Amino acid sequence: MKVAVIGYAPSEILSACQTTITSLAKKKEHVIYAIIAPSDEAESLLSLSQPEISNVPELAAIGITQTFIIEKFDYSAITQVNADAVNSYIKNVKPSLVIMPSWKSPNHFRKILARTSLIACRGIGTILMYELDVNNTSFNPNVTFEASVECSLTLEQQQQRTSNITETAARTTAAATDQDEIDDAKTFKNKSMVQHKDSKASNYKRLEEKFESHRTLLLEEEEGLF
Amino acid sequence: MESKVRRQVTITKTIIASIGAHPDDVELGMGGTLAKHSKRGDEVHIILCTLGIGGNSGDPKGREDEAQAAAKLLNAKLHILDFPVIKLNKPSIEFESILKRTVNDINPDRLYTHSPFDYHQVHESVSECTRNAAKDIQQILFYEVISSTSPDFRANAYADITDYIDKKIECLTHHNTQSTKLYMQAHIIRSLAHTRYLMGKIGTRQDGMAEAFAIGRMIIVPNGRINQDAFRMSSSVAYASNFSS
Repeated sequence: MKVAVIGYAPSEILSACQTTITSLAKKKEHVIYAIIAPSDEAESLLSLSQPEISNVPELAAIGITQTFIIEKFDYSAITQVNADAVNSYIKNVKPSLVIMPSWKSPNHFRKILARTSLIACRGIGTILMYELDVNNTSFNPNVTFEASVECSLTLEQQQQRTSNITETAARTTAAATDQDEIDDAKTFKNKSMVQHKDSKASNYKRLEEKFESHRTLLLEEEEGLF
Repeated sequence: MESKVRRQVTITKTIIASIGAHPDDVELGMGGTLAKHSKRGDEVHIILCTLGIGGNSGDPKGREDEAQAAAKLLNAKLHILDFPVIKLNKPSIEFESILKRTVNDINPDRLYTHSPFDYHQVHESVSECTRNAAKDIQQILFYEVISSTSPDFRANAYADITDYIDKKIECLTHHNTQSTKLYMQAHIIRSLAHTRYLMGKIGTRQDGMAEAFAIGRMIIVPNGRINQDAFRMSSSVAYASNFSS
């Protein structure tokens, strides 16, 4: 199955879908692509200047085969030009599953990107949405990806790693220019991500990421998930 | 011993159960999807809650025969609970426990039932009892019944039944006692299916047909089945959150 994950920064994708992508990528029949439409602010923060196709190391590390970067995505409005830009990669990839931000997100970048992507993804069977903002009361997650992962890191290492991801996401989320904004944005939590201790084996932990189904196409793939 | 055997079967074969209040509900709501499940080799069960009390709806024996014929066409095993319809006007612990026993015996990977958003009081109470009885089931989806599902039903999952619409209509023709009802007519069934395909934007076939569902809960484990004990601990919390808004 081909999967396309859409976000406006690599850290956004890592925060929202890391467990899901990693567990999907373990199976050879799943090929996962990322489509990133950086905002001007996020782009400068992330030093993402290379156009078109890029190998973003942190995304490659979790199993993303290829990353497409959309240059000059206009976040001031939903436009046909934006939709066409996203659609050009969707047509190229032909995914069965697209993961994108919540189209009702209170975050401006996510909302513009998601609504644009919905236009670009007509005819795509399954669209799942993530949300990193706890203030999105419209977000109603109903699809959960679960994975048990071997816990080779200590608790302190895990917390540090989560903190690093949150920090990066916060910077790009707020497109912050001063420390106060960054601190405000750090209160954003990944609403999609929940961790459980596995009661059966202490060296394993169970991670789950929650998505809202915008639409899910059932029973299509021979080895499909739905 | 039984549960061990069942678990082994589950790993290699997907088990599907669909619950309908009345004999034609399952076929009306998701006959095409069940036909598709059967074609894939899934083990399909239909749980029929009541046969009614006769009168204009048809006598119970006749309706049982109709349901058996439709289930046979879908290659599904029919479980008739034959619970008194008068007692299904509102949810009850008694019915919930009967349903729970049946669901536990089948141990489905995915369960389909009526939507909570349904004008028909029996459909509504079956939906509520199912949700309570199936807290351990990983995937619950609600189907729509054209005659009674309310506009609050918000579809967010679809099955492309373009190649199965004829089978669905054939199933419905077995329900002779209901054949004069408007919503049982073939052109109505096709019209809804075509609309669902287009509104769902799930494909580009000119003749596309779909059945629509609302996801109650869908837990996916890309690398195998999840630890059931661990799942049970968190399921009630996750489930509650899905109905909180």
